[in-house]
Amino acid sequence: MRAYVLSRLAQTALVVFLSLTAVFAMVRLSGDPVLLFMPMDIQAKDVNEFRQRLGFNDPLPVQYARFVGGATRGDFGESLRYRRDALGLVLERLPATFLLAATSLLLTTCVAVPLGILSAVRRNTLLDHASTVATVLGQATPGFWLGLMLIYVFSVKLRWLPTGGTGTLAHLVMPSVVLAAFFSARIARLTRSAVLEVLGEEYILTARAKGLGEARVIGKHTLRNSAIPIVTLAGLEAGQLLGGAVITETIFAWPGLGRLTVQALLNRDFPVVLAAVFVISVTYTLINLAVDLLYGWLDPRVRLR
Amino acid sequence: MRRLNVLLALAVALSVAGADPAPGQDRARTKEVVVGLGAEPRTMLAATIVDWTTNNMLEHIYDRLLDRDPRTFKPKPMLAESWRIVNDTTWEFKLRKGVRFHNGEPFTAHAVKATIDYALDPANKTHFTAAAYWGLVREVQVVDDHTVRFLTKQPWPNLIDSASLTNGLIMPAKALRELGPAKLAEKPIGTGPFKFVEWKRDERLVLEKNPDYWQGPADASRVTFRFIPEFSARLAALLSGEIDIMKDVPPHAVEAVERSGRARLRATVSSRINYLALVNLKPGPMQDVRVRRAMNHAVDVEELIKQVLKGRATRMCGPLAPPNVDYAPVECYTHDPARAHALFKEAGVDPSRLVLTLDTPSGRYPLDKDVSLAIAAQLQRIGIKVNVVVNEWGTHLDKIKNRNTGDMFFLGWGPALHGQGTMQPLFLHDQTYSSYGNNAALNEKIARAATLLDPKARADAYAELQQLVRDEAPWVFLWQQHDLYGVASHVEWSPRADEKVWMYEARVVAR
Amino acid sequence: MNHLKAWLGIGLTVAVVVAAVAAPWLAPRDPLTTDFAASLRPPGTPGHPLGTDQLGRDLLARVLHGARLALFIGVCTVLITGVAGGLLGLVAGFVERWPSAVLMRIADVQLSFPFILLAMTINAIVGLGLRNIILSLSAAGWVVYARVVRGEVLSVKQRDFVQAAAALGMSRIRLLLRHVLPNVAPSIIVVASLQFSSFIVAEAAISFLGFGVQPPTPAWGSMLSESRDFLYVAWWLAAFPGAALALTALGVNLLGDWLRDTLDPKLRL
Repeated sequence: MRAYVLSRLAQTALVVFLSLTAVFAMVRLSGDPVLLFMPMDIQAKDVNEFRQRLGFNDPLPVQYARFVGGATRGDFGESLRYRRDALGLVLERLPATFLLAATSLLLTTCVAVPLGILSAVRRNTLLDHASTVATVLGQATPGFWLGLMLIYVFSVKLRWLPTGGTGTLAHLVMPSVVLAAFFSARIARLTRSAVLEVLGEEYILTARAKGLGEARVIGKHTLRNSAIPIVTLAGLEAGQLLGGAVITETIFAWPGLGRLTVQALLNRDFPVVLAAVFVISVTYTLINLAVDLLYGWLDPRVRLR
Repeated sequence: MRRLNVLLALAVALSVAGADPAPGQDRARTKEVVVGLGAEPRTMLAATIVDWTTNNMLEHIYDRLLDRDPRTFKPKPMLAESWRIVNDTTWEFKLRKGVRFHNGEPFTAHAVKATIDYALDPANKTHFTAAAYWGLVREVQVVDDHTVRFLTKQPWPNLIDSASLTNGLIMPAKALRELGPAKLAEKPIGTGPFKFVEWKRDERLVLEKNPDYWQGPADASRVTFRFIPEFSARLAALLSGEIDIMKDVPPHAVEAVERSGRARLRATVSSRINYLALVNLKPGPMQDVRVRRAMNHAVDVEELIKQVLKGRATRMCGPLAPPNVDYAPVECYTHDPARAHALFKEAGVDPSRLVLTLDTPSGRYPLDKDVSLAIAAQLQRIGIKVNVVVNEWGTHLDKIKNRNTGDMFFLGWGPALHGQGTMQPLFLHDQTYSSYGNNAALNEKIARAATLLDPKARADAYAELQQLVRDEAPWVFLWQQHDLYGVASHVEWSPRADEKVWMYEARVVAR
Repeated sequence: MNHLKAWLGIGLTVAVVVAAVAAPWLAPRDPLTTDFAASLRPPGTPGHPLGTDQLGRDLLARVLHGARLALFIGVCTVLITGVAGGLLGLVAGFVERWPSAVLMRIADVQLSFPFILLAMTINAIVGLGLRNIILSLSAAGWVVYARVVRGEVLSVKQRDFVQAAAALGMSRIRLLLRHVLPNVAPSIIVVASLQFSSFIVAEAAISFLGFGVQPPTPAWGSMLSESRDFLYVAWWLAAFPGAALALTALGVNLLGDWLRDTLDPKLRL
């Protein structure tokens, strides 16, 4: 077990290192990083002097070596735009993104899982059909469009909810609903099919034959066994939530990691882009590791190697 | 399912309870003002970054040596009570006595010296080392506690403009020395009308009234700047009472603001100009002055203002606009397709076989992309085919710098308050964002005008330059932007042409 | 219910394809022609069934032409990723040893990053425009095929008939073409149909954020992005392109589900 976790962590380190290298190479191929941070009436010579001071005139290998040296100490340099430690800027945004992701995950679990179970147990009833329609629609509706429409209805027309930003619980409603919508649809579908699969197994028939009450059949036998695929997918989706957060945070001006990353890309704030890539890929792989461990705990047959 | 219902009901109840923003009436009583801006500041450290929003925020906390009259734009006393020219390269300022920083430290000539020394130290990587800012300053000398001298590397008449713009936000000398810039970035200490309370990046900046301000305390007890990038989100925030002042109301939303009953529109003609560059720094039809003039006759600027901008712009005929201290009137190019055709013919260009490319940013200036598409449609009427290329802002700047835009590009410039600041960076071939250059006569005149200390000689030189530029037609001269603000009914405040959102002038009235 | 879903999927997909192919004939006018005098007209205006945008361009024409662009991007990316990812997966699965290890390592790197963010980052770097968005989506999306195909190849190889053919001395290339490829083809088709809608939604999302396809090209994503400034005065600019996108995604998703159920019920995606 410990060896497994250690080797997974080593793998994570390698993957993170490779992705940082790839992103480093790519960002250096895009445009001039200095222009966007300089006032427009500045002279060409001053721009060049600035580039020199920031080290962007050095040969690429030198810049890369400097970057790797810094990154191993957790130093991604100073944000070009904000003149502050880039990693600090990124970490500062992490709680907002986690809050949003956790709320969406909670919402998904509270809505999608019960819905999936119900529609499996009450198969082919009106409820099942309605939930199928909802999940299919939910999966097809792009989050950013849903967000726009919600803003139009609840902020512009009804003025019930703020259009964006943070502060009160009300600020959290639309972003988390939008973020949860897509994932709920997937989780609900998966829960339904996982429960259906388990319900067809022999041990359920045996349990029923033994005369166990329906509640115990569903509650004890079915749920525990159908939990594995649900947890796996939920884990994978938890990572994808970070991707969904990029769009949701931008629409609702939510000061999280996703919005910071988009802005850093648009502003060519390379140190922040790299720090964000670092934090995202570490988080992502750690979530996956956690999912694997949970998987082993839920299903002792799975031996982690 | 029942539990689910309970949960949902709870969530809805909580959300509705929390949604009610503190009503405008409450803020009117406590004299709080909330301002919604599209951009956020980049730092709270003064004298480091040249950026409009950053310095606009900082100006509430820090004072400058000189202020600008909001109507004439002429420099007037602020922390300096008077100034004089000692010789060609020496300026002397007499400083105000009895002014204190928010931490109690007295304001003296040492503060001025410490600030400029900080800005000019290469180790601090400030933007102000550039010649366009403080780069021409050789040394700042403390004559006595309330007299300071600026020695310049060459005669520099615009020093006074620099001192009156956001370039010279004076920091406390002792605090800068003892705490260091990093601490001042966390908690700025100025002499200004507001004190720093809190800055949450990407969200809000909160300031409170400085009761001991030397010009008298502000009316607003607390000012919050909220950063809301989207137009529609800002508008919704204004109309629902979340904010009291909204910057940049889009022209087509003016009616929605006026109709709401919660806010009124406040507009001003800005010093920021928009233009369509006709690039002569690369081969192509724009090398020929006749083609450039023909373009000016072919584009119907009045129609663009009326139809696309809903009248929210003021036409400009030459390179400078009235808020610019060096402005002189020139004659407008008239919309005249026949004239355009004649000029094209003279130049040997057949407009119906002309294919041009126009580069435009999107969302940087009011309806920039739409204006560019409309210009393309107008040129189509006389047979010219125009491909509009919409660029992300960084790419747009890269293309201009590398001279690989199309034959035309759209750009804005401002706050454009003195002639040198427009002429030098935009009409000399070796400047980053110029589109036009290599005109020996013009080069020489621009260089000369920038060194004239005598007001009359300077006025004449800039008048001549403006006529010359107008005739050379390096741009299709478009307009001055109008800055449109939505202002809640309980706030009395007027916008300024220099784009400064200045809350010291805001008055909160209970209605 | 399942038949209904399949038919709905086929119906919607056919409708989108027809709209895309016949856009120039179906649209009442050119999607790029501006008419300042008729800007921001609401739906139902004579001559403009879905209204007009801020420059007086016909919204119906723009939505129809948007279908063209969306399908074009979807088809291109699915073809590129399918062929490239499929081939790589095939090779990696067949020639285990180092190609397999290298490929899986690259896949790990890519999968350590949310798809949309990866595609956007690549797009920000290679530059905007139609060609580059297709490249970016492909570069970010091929991994899924490679993984699925490699897995399928590995399992097909274990089957008795393939083992037997190999033992009989069938050449590796023939083995690949005769036995392995036909067995992994259904997976490729299913993955492609499921990827299709995620590609067009991703393209729209990226264009929405300001990268990707740029105006005046009538792409649904950039139309939605533009519509944000007019949300207060013209809801239709946001409603119709978004609805078109959602319906297209719905149709293709349903079709994909049906294909999976028919061709490869085990596949869980």
